[in-house]
Amino acid sequence: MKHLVISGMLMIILSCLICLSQITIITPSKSMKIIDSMSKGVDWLESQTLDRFEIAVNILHFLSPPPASKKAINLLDWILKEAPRRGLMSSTLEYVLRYFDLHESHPELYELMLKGTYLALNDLYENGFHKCHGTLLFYEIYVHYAFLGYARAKRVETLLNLPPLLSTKFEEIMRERIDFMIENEGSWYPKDEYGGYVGRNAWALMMLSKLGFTVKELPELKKTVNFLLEHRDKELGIWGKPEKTR
Amino acid sequence: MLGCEGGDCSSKVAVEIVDGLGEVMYTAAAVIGLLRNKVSPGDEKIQRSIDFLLNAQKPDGRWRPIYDANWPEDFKSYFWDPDYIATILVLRAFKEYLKACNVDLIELAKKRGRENLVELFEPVYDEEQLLLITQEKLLPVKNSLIEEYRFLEKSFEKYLKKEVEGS
Repeated sequence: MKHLVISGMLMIILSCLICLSQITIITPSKSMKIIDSMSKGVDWLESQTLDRFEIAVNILHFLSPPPASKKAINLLDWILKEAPRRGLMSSTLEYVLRYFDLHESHPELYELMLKGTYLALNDLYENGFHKCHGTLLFYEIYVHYAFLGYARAKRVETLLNLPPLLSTKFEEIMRERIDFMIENEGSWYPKDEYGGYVGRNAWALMMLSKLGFTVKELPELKKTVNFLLEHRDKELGIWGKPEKTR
Repeated sequence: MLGCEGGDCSSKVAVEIVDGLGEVMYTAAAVIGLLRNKVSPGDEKIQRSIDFLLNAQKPDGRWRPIYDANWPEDFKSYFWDPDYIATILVLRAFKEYLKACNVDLIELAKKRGRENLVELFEPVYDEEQLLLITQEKLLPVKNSLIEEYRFLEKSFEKYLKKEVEGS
């Protein structure tokens, strides 16, 4: 009984310490500085009049998942009214569907988006996307579509009867990419003489998390996390210049 | 998607454009990606990145993709306005960071009198209302969007047939 009480108390102390360490990560002055800076940034975005559609979509991305605020709903309203006039913007539509949990009620739109990704991927693979084949840019675009297709296939397969070939194809492509990443110590891209491949991995990690894949769903991503943490500052200009060069 | 001058993505111009996305954008992307993948906001690298991003803000409120360089003005015509994207990415990185630190963004914005953030984030509808509103708003555009997607169908069938024949 006595041991139980002691271990219980130790557990409470430990949780308090963990809470305390979370609280002290950010000082009140720093959090205020961030809020002020964010407010200034939003002011700048809203003051731009060059392309209101792009700004509105970007603000919606920033809000993601959008809160049920009046401003978010107004933005959505405006974007949906404007989207058809602007031509199709599947990524915008996908964000809208996903963020507002509408994909279940409109699975046919998802199916079409998935088909579109499949076509783009095929085109990219077969035609080498003009002269980009073999370059880092080719890899970037290819990986982008592979992620997008995989995420869409995963999402749609629970809603619709996909042609088996389509979902299998995306599974295969993604497996291939994951194997490549593992062989390359966490990098989704080959090392490039121009540099920039570390930053692209930061982008890839962000994109995957946006599509719903983190280390929880894809444990292999731990390798990319480590890759980024290890490569910080080693390559100039990638996630912040080293102190001495600022 | 990224653009290539004259379709030639291997040209130096294209390489410079793509690699020039810049440390501000990549730093923000890294912060978002790492925080979502269970890296602690207390990690020294995250903290330094946040400080870097705070210092990188321009006096008018925007962020530019590169910390201490001017972005070529004609780049805008390629595919996007890089300042928008850089600004949005940094804002998202800050939001992600505050969330990871358990800071209530709305409460803090209210305390600081930052009404523009309160208006953006403070919920005024419950879940049920939100679903009704969004479904209603999506309906009128749904059909026209489906129509625009239809052109994909034919090409898709063609590719699928080719795949089946290939296998």
